[in-house]
Order: sequence, then C-alpha cells, then structure tokens
Amino acid sequence: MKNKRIQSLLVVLIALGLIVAGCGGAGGDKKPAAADNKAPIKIGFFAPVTGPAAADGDSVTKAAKLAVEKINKDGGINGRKVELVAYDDNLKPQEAVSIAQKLTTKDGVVAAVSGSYSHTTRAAAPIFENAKIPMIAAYALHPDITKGGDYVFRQSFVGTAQGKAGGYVAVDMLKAKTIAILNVDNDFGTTLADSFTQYVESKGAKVVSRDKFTMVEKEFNPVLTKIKQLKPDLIYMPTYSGTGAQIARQAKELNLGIQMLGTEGIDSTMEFLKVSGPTADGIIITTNLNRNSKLKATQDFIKDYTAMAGHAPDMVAASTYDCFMVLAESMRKNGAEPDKIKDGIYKIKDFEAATGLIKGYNKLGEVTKNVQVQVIKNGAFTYYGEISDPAIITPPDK
Amino acid sequence: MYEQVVAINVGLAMLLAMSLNIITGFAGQPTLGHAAFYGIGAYTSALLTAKAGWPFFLALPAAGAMAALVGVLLGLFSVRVREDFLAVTTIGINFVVVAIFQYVQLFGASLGLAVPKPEFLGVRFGNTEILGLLILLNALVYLFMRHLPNSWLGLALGGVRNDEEAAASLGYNADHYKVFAFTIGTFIAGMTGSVYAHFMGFISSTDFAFPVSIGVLSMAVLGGLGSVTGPLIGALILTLAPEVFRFVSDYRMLVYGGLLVLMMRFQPQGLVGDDSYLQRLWTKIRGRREEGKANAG
Repeated sequence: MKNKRIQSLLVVLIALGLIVAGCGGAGGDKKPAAADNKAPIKIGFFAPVTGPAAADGDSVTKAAKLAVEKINKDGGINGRKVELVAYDDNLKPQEAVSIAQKLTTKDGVVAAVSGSYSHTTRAAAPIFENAKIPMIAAYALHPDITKGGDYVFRQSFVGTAQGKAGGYVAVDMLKAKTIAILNVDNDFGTTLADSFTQYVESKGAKVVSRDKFTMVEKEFNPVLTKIKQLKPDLIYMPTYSGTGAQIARQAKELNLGIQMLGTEGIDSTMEFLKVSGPTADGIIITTNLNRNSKLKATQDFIKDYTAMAGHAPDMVAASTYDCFMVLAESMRKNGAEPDKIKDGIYKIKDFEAATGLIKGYNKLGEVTKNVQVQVIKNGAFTYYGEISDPAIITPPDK
Repeated sequence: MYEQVVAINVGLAMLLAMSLNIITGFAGQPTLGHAAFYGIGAYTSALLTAKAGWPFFLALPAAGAMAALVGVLLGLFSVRVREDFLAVTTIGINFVVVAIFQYVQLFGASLGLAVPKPEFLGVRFGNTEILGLLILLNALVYLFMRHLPNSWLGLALGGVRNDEEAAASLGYNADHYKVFAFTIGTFIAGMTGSVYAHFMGFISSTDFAFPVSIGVLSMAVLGGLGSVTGPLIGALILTLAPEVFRFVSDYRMLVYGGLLVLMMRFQPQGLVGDDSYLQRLWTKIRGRREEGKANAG
C-alpha cells in the first residue's frame, strides 16, 4: 500500500515536471537583442567534443575560439563584441536537435556554425531554418543539409564536387587508367566514391574494384592484398583519419607501391599525420586548406592556430574558422540581425579566407572556391596543385 | 522551444525504459539490444509514411506491431537460450538490425531517411503536439505497468523471473510468459521509435546503435529494475543530466559516468527500488506521520 502511494506521488511529480517544462518555454521565447547596440553579438556553435569524433571536435572548437578572438581583436562587429556559445553534441542527432533548439530559442544567437558531422548537422538544420537563424555547416557533407531553405549554408565542398575533383586529380593530373576504390561506408564515403566513379568512367578510366568498410575497421590486409593483385594505377580512398592511417600503414607493410589518393577526410594533423607517420609520405589528397597559399588570411590562420594549439591546423579547423569569418564579414557589411546576415552571405564575392578565395554562395547555400590538391611530404601537407576549372568546382544548385 | 524538446527527449526515454522494464525487470530476461526494436519501429513508421503514404496514426501502431513481430521471434529464441547467452544474443540482434539499416538501400543506407512531420485532422504536428502524444502514451503505459505487478499475469511473470522451475512446477508455462513479455515490451519500443522518427524528421542507422541500448538499460537499472516508478526516474535523470551538465563541457561525460558508478556502488537496487535510501526515508516519514495522527486521535 505504502509502495503504491510513493509511486503515485512520484509519477504525479514527474508528470507535472514534464508539463511545466513543456509550457514553461512558451513565455521565454527570447529574440536576439537587436535593439541593444552595446550587448555582445552571440554566435552559436556545436561540435562532437566527446564521442567517436572527439579529435575533430577538439580541433574545430579551438578554431572557433580562435576565430572569435580574432574578430574581437579586429574591433568586433562595428564596435560590438562577438561571443561564442559552444556546445558538445556527442555526435548524437538527438542532442544536436536540442542544442539547435537551445541556441535558437534560449541563447538568442543571431547565427550559428556547425562544427559537426553530417547526421547531426542534417538533423539540426531544419530547426535553424524554421527559426530563421542562419547556420553554416563547416564540413558536413550530406547533400540534403542545404536543401531545406535559404538559411543554411555550407563552407566545404559538397560531396559531389569533391568526388569530381578527386576524379580530375586521378585521370587528368595523375593519368591513372585503372583505379581501385576503398571507401568508408557512410554518406561521406559513398557520395564521394559515386561521383568519383562517374567522373573517371566518363574520362575512359576503369574502376577495377570497389570495397567498403565501417568507420571502426582496423584490419585492411586482406583487401589491400586483393588490390595488390589487381595492380591498379591508383587507389582512391574517401575515408577518415582513423581508418585512413591504418590503410596507409598496412599498405606500406605490404609494399603496395600504388599511388594513393585521399580526400579532406584524412586532412588531419593529429589523427592522420601523427598516427601514420612516414608511411603516409606520397599520399595525395583533395582538400580546401592550401598550406603554401600566398593569401594573408591563410598564413595568418596557420600561424595563429599553431601558436594557440601547439600543432598545425587541419581542414576541419580551417573550414570552421572561415565560417566565423564569413559571418563576421556579412555582419560588418550588412548588419547583425539574422535576416541581414543571411542576405549578406549571399552577397559575398571574392572574399579572402583561410581556405582560399571564396567566390560566393549559390542559391542553395553551397560555397564556390578552388579545390586544393596537397601531397604529404616529410610528414606535412604541401602544395601539389589547385583545381579552378568551373566544370569541376561549381556546386550543384538543385 | 528548448524546454519542449528536452521534455520530448525525457518522454521518449521514459517509454523506452518502461518497455525494457517489462522484459528485463518483470520477466527477468536480460536484453542488451533494446535499441533494435526502437529502430525497427522508427524505420517502419518512416517508410510507411514517407514511401507508402500512410497517415501517421496508422503508422504508429504498425511500427509497434512490426517491432513486436521481431520481438516475438526473439522471445522464441529466449526460450532456448538463458541469461548471459540471451544477453549476448540480443546484442547480436542489435548489431544485425543496425547493419541492415546501414546497408539496405530501402532504408536510405548510409544517407539516412527523411521523415515527414505527422498530420492529424489538418493539424501539422509540431513539438507541442508530439509532447502531448508522448504524455498520453506515457500515461497509458504507466497505468498498464502499475496494474501489471499485482495482476495474475504480473505474478506469473515474477514467478518466472525468480524461479523458473518452481513456476513451471506450479503449472505455469514459463515459455509463454517470456514470449508475452517480449511482445509487449518490443511493441512499446516500436511505437516509441515511430514517435522519435517523426519528431526528429531525419533518422540514420547509428541512432539505434548498441550504446543506445546500454543507455536505456542504465536508465532502468538506475531507477530500479522491476519497480514501477524506477525506470521513469532513471530516464528522467539520465536524460536531464547531459543537458544540465552541458556547461561543464569537457568533463560532462566524466561527471555523468562517475555518478552512475557511485550509484551502482551504493544503491545497486536502484534509486527507488526495494529497500533503497529514498524508500526507507519515505517509510520513516510516513511512519512518523501515522504515529502523530494516532497520538492526536
């Protein structure tokens, strides 16, 4: 009998809690403080600081802090300071959704940056769209992210563009005739491998094998041995640092001797270069950070980031940093209200950023900029080439 | 609104924890793959509404039915494998189901599936409506759970949990009750998955991976397996904790994990399980009050 009493009481309490929590928000709907000209401008940010992508989460969080510091050092936004509101999404879409809600309805941010992967960003994007708060995805590749409406932008190459660029490097720059593909089996690897295949086959090259693996795979000897027997001219491997480093090491152990072509997925200082060490030398990647760029924005970023973090920046850091720079540029020129920021981003033309010259954003919100081709030499990424052919780098607008 | 989203997350977690409690708490069948059924419900509902054009209110029970169908199969398995073996089997099922979502084109494979927002009588479901639906579902499941332990069925399930041979010698067919528990538990998990899919608007295979199963089990264990309110409290705490501790950022998971370890060390029966601190405290307070009443009278 007593037991039942306790239980009923607790349940009533919980139910009340739920209802109060549900209704409580109704009055608390905060609009960004536009009228107050002294208050800091808040920019939201989320990244997978914990969980399976923690290395990238750490890298982008440093970049976000650095970017905000830099904006404030350069005088803020017409005299107003910028404040970072950063959260950890644990690489879970459900958490990304509550963070997006928190940013748009509680924290009063005027814009946001996603430093997270595809699925989390994809789940959060509609919330920013509905709240009419502009959001830039730093490096998430899912093609649907920008399709929801006007307020969502992408700072990195959409998967199809980078896949094509990889194809260009393979057949036009490296003259490969037979190619083996080794891709991570998620939206990132699949999208890239598909558009890569389409491009190289249209140019007459042959894909002799295509193998997939999961994000946590460690053992590549069997598949690499198989590829070795096929003797392709090139291996295309759209994957991330963890698996990429294992492939590089095991390929070296097998004495594979086949040119390898990676993507921005392995453009990581700590997770790829450090783990694969000398075995990565000679691997070529398509990415968006040119370490030998003459642009002041790029060199300043590399210098500042290295000083702050104690290691060289990678592609995810550079992309995240640029999202903030683009937002700042838009706010300085067009005003710091969500609508004006959105319009301002569409107006950006030939803006010098860490990831090169940003030519502009198309109506979907996809960025147009040159694809960088880098080669690993003595354990560091260095210039190999740059792709500026509009047929390759122009993102789809549908 | 942020509070609504948090409340929805709590509501979803409560349903999952209660559904697991039927299988693991009441019938004593250890299962470590509950997220599989959550996922089956979510994908069933997503496909039925997005591809087959079903209305949400038909897809919701259909999602439950689909999950229950697989649940019955697992229940039939559980008759043959026991305890640790059953636990390992359920882990396997979780991995198989996630792999199917990840590789089969119909399920969107690695790109995931976009799910339409439900509509009912011309009203497009926003977060408010979804929260309302969740409160209703929680209330229904809770009422069921409350009456279960003292019902003939609940007593039979308890018998199976405590001593299968003894229950069998009294003429209870243990197998039937196990399968029954799996059916009900997975049905509720499937419905919860449906609500999750339509709330999120986008699902992908990793949303239903093994760590999610462990999360649900932690909720039920933290609150008190086999108690009626325990899983609700566990779900409430474990869903709110990461939100509340968001400000500690880097140390969030450390704090969260640490709390769980301390809890298990000092309150293995769960927060409101039998003979827990909270329950003893409550009994004491009630005892004093009754005494007071008696004295006054």
